[in-house]
Amino acid sequence: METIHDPAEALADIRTMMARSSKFLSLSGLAGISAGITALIGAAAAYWELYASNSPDPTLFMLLDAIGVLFCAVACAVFFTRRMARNLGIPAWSNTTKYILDSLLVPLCAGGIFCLLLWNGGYALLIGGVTLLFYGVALINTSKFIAPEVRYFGFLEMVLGLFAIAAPANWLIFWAFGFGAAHIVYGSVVFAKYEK
Amino acid sequence: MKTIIGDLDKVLESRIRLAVMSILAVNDVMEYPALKDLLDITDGNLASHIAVLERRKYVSVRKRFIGRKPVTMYSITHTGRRAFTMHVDALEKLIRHSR
Repeated sequence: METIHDPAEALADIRTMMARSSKFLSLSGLAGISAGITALIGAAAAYWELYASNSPDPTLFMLLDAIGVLFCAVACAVFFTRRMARNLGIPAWSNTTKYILDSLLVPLCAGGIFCLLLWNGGYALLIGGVTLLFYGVALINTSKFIAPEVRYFGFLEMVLGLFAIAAPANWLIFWAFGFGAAHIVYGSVVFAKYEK
Repeated sequence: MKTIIGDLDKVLESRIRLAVMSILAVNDVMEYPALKDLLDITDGNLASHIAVLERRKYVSVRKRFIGRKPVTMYSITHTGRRAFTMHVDALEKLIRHSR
């Protein structure tokens, strides 16, 4: 049996193990903040297209806007997560990362397909709310691998999604609040609590 | 000096058992596969170390079914946390005195 005789070495071991196993490692508050800012810019662009530009068919613009926001938010999340892992000297791609992606992607894919079906069926106004709803479900599903705060954040997104579905005329406001403002608040809380 | 060494917990002098306790100190529950992954050791080795910790009531074990797959989950007990804290305190004291 391997025993440690040097107390300094033992303490260093404890530190490493605590850091490496900690759930908060793979989650950066900065990723949340940047995703929120991206979403707000995207929502502002959508608002302009829908209510100010008088364009006859906003479909293409909205689609490109959505893809742009998604791409930027994911790119920021990958960037900040890798940076954080590098700073802490741990691999960004771990078992935990795999669990997180797995439990996030399953509900998100279901939601994505559902949105396509809605669009196809002429219910485009419901899509904003449905994305919030499924995002909330995905977050609740993932919270066991990340911070407990994620669970409440997921509930908030779900409730906002349901409001957006109940009041489709105002979906963009709920969407901007859920994906924009809530991400920024959540990211700031996580950053202040775990990364400072 | 003797009294200080006396505070060290014999059970936690093993590198692996100390690592298990460190991980459980900051994670509410840990599943067996994740634990094994972090420690990078064989099943038999980990099982025997956990058995020691379990016998001392430092960790509690729960089995749960996720679908059809049984997953063993470990948590630190109150006794375990106290022992761990005391051991860390003793290590710190040792370092301070050896300076």
